[in-house]
Amino acid sequence: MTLAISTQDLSKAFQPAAGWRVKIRGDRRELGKIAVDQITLAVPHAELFGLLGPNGAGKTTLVKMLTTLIHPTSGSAEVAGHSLENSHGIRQSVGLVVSDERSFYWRLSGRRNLQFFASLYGLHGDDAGQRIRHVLGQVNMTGDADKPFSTYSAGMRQRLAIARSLLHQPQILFLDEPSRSLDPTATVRLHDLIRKLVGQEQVTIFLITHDLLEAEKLCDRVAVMHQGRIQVVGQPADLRRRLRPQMSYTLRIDPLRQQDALALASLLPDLKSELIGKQEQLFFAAGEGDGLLTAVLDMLREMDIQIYSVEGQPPSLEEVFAHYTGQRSSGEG
Amino acid sequence: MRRLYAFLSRDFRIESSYRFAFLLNFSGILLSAITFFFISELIGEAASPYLSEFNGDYFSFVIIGIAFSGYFGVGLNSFARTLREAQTTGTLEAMIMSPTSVSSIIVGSALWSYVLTTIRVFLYLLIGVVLFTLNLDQANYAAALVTLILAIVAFASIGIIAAAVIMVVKRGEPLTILFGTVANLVGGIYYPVEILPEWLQIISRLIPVTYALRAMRMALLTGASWSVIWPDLLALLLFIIVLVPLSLFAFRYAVERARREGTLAHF
Repeated sequence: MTLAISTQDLSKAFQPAAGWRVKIRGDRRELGKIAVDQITLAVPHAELFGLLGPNGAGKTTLVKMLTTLIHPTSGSAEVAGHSLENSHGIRQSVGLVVSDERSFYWRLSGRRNLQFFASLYGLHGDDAGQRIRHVLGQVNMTGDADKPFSTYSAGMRQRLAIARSLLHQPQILFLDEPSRSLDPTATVRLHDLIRKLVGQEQVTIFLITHDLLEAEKLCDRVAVMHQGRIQVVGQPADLRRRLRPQMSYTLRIDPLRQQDALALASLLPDLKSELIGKQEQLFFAAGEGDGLLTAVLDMLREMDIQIYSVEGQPPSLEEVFAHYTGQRSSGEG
Repeated sequence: MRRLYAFLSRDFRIESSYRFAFLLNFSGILLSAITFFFISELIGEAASPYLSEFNGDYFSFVIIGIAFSGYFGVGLNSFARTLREAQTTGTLEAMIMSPTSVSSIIVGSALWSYVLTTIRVFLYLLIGVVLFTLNLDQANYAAALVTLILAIVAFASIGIIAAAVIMVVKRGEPLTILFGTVANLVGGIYYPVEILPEWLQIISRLIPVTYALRAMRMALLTGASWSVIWPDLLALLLFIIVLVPLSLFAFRYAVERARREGTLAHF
């Protein structure tokens, strides 16, 4: 198995800003914030690997180290066969797509933007023209390429960012929350493109996301990162099975009789209900595959209660992190 | 070279997309030349004793000062400004992700400012010769060109040091403003340094603008030979010997430090 990315105890600590007096005396008592803490990972070639975590988990810092934008404090890594010291080799082999849509020249067209960035990768003249046409076709933007970037929608900007990252035919593509601020249609198109890149072009994708569903839909494997550490790595279905997530259900039914409500409460101690017009809504949690939902539905049928709808909500990312970290995620950071 | 052309092409397209500002930029040159023509009319022969080594004409003296001091302004500000612009617009990280080095990106991004300044200098000289009293009949263009090259390298070194400071502390404008103001005061742009008090003349000897402008005026206005302007060229060369390695070291240190601290694209 060829590895596209491998890391060994990779860490990054950011030193706190110190006053000049402290700097001159070398008197630093604070060790700084540990953003990435001894990460050891192995991502095979042509895998769609997801890195999942809340804001401030250290995901972006990890990717910036792997793309040589930041030096690690300790540990080592190989990206596309190059050690982190070989920043030139890594940059020729990887592409990075960030969710920052400002990273283009708004007064220029999409094509002109790509021409400029192609030249930074040493692509000029006809070679550049051909490659630009190819990547524009890949992201389905050929028809819009000559419009000013300022007129593009968020989805088009994101697709152009992916086109830019593909100009030099990278072996590995790092995508940092690519679907942030995209509408559902644009997200579906983006997901199709990502799948195509892995399936047809054999590109290794390293996808950062804090969207559990996106990771589940797209990734071959995901790693959950929290407070700078990888908490768990595995296939999404496997992680879900291990997690046995609690789904939140909402049932719309005919109003319950008192004795029926009591019988149902004995099955569901956390049951909540609300009368809305002539119907009653029941709210409860049930684990995936624990049979509780089936038991509730069977009981309602036996009571001869009409069921109008059943809605299930997957567990929130908070709950996943709570499971793997033993605490609620700390939010922004 | 093709990468540098790409930077020029990018900046030309962006600049020319603001058509009104683009045209206004050049029309200001004519107005500035007219203003200084009238000032020189007012001054008349009174300034001649101070300007005898430059053929005694204040308009010629000042128009060359203003035109070529543009290179100092560009050298001082353009590297830091383009770096800040790329940081704030978010394009720096996208450029840095390419195999093109950070120093090439900074130099490439500043190139357009040099092209614009060269056009401005050419227009100043053209307007001065065609519409006013600037006389370049005796000019020693080879000496002027050598002076210009040495001056550009010396000025750019200071600008690169300013960019390095900005990369580390994120705020370097006060430094460049101070340096620019001092150059305006003592560099001999608007008046000969000989009219300054002695202590200001000492400061004027510490900045490359003084030597560059004197050599340029001597070469263009009096056709001075190498034997006349060599002390000024030597001074510029000494600035280069000190400032170029210093600026490269400072810039490399700033980039490494920003990579270590993760602040390369911060602003």
